[in-house]
Amino acid sequence: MPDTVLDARIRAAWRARVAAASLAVGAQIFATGAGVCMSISLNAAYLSVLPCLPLAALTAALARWSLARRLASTGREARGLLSRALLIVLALLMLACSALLLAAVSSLAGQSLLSEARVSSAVTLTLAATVLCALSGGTGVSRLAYALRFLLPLGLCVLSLLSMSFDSPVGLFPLLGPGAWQLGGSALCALGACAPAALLFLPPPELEKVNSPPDSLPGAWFFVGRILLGALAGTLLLLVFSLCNTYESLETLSVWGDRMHILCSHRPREGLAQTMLVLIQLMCLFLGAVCTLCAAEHACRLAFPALRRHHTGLLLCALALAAALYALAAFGVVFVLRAAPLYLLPLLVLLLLCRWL
Amino acid sequence: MPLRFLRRACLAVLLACLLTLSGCVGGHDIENCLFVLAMAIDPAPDGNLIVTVKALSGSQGGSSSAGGGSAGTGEASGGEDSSGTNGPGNGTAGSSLEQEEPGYIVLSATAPSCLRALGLLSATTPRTVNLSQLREIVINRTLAETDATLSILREIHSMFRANGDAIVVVTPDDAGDFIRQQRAILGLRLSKYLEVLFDQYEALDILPPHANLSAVISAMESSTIDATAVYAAGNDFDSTLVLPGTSDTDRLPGHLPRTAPSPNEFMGTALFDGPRMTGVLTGEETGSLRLMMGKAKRTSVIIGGAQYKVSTRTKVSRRLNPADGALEVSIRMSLSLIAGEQTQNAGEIAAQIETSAVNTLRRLQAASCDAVGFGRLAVMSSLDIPAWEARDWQSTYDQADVRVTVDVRIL
Repeated sequence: MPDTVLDARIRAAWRARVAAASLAVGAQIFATGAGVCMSISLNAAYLSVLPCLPLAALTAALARWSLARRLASTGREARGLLSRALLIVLALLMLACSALLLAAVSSLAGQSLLSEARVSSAVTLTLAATVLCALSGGTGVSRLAYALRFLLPLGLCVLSLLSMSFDSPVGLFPLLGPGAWQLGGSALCALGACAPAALLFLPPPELEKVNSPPDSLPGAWFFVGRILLGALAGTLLLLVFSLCNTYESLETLSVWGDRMHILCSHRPREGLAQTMLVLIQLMCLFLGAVCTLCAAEHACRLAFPALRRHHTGLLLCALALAAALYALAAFGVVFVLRAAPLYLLPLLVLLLLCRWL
Repeated sequence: MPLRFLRRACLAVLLACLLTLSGCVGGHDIENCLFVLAMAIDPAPDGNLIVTVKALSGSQGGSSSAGGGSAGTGEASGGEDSSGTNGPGNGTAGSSLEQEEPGYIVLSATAPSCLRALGLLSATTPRTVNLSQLREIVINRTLAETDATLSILREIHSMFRANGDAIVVVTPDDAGDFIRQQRAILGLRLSKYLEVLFDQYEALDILPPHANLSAVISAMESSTIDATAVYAAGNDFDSTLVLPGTSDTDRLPGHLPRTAPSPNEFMGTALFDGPRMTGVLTGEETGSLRLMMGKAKRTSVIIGGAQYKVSTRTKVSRRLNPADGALEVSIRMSLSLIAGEQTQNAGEIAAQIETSAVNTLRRLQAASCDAVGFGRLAVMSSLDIPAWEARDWQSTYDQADVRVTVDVRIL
């Protein structure tokens, strides 16, 4: 009986963890697609992020394999196998993802709900809220993501349909946008958008002190399927944006926040549906940022056990984020958008380290 | 110890970051804003523009303005002159048209661009110009026939965050006078009056669909569809024309045989080829256009002295014939007689609608205006943007054959 209860709780912890990773992946794909791919491949941005899906699935599968290998050893030895180098790379990657998602929240809020507010207000509000939510550790946000696992996609779907105009698939054609070369280039730039899937390399914080038997780890499809669903949601949201705008209109959109703001030209008034859609988008981006921040803090704590005390790891990560966000506020978001394609490099390093260690 | 110090230092830095929050910032008091309800743009000498705005004055009494034709602004002043003359405006300072209805103020400014004119208004009016409540943008036809229209509308929409739902209107008259003589003759508020006016005329199918600001900008930028705007004119009621014809709406505004407190008439469509106006449709032709776009809203029609109700949703399909590239529209509708005596059979009614639709399509082709959206069908066969742009759809569209088939069932 106790084993069954333990197994159920372990599985519940993993379900919440994967839900959080799935949400973060979908949010990152949407933010990167809108910020980077849309300026290159215009209305075909949703096609350019499709290669992220298999890479996200591969990352999730490798994470599962790595966890299974570690759990096959004893508990203490298992943690030792996750080398410090791998943890540092993971922490930095998660911090970068969190910075991009927070910048996306600030940019979208600045172009929609907080259009009259100062940039620093949006940035500081977002950062403060993220740090406060991350204080309870990754458990809270994972469980929230799990609780909203149906509500968020359903809300996005319904509100997107209400915001669109069905006169004709306005921006769907030409199908390849500016052309195959541009599409390929933007697909390469978008590959790093699946980086949040790497947080699955870390076990849930509540299972750190538990000697989980290897059998308790869910199967590979448990990880891969859920990550793919989250990635697909981000891709579909980019498709909605393409359906609402022609490629000529997308060419004129130079602000990142405008490229995330789904507003059909035939239904421009920001009624309840559009406002609710913006709120849900902001929530998804925000929760993704919190998940990745918690994962960064978790990786820092595992790499440097001295940071466990008094949330020191979280405070250091928050400081790094604050510095990044204020730099963005001062110099513009173009730097984070230019850095987004480079997320692929640490992800590949992580996957190689995982394979060889 | 060092860790505790580090933690406290980090907390202090984070708190300092939080201090950049200073409560609600950027809020706009209603009294601080000049809420513009209608905007008019006219050409001025030397390539300048005259931008005239009609805004809420926020006062109970009447207000008057001055400086309609020069680089100046009108100032609100007390007193109301209710002469309410509706004569043709000349757009110059000091005319009787400067007396406004209570609660509204008219201001104007002249500058080389719309942006600078609005900037001048903002700089010389002790209020922030706010276009979020804009209901109508009226453009003089001479200006609409130039390439400047798109840049003007873009400036208004993106720089000043104008309401994307505002209806774009083209008039052959002086646009400033057009909005000066606009009154809320029914109801209390000009904003609501304009909203109901456009909804009402759209429901009669005498105004084009998607004539709002953001849709017009999107269509002007697009190479797969062309923009349409509302066509309107003022009537001085001294030279009304009673034209023979089968339809009372098969005409353009400006000389309709009627009298009313408001001289402004809205009927018909201004056609654009890209950013440039190239033609007009009458009210009746606009109804055909709406029918072919699948946007007809009329639920009852009068044909041959009998009134019919449209029983079920009219099915409209558009296609490009792959063999000869002809523009084909197929319309299927069911009518039921509700009043009068039926004098025409289904075939005759169908032929009548067919002729009207073909004539409308030919008018659109003559104006190089693909308002129906055949371009959106043509683009599906192009794989990428360079292939589409190399196709020169505009020339193909102008010369394509037109076929309309109408199937009417009378229940």
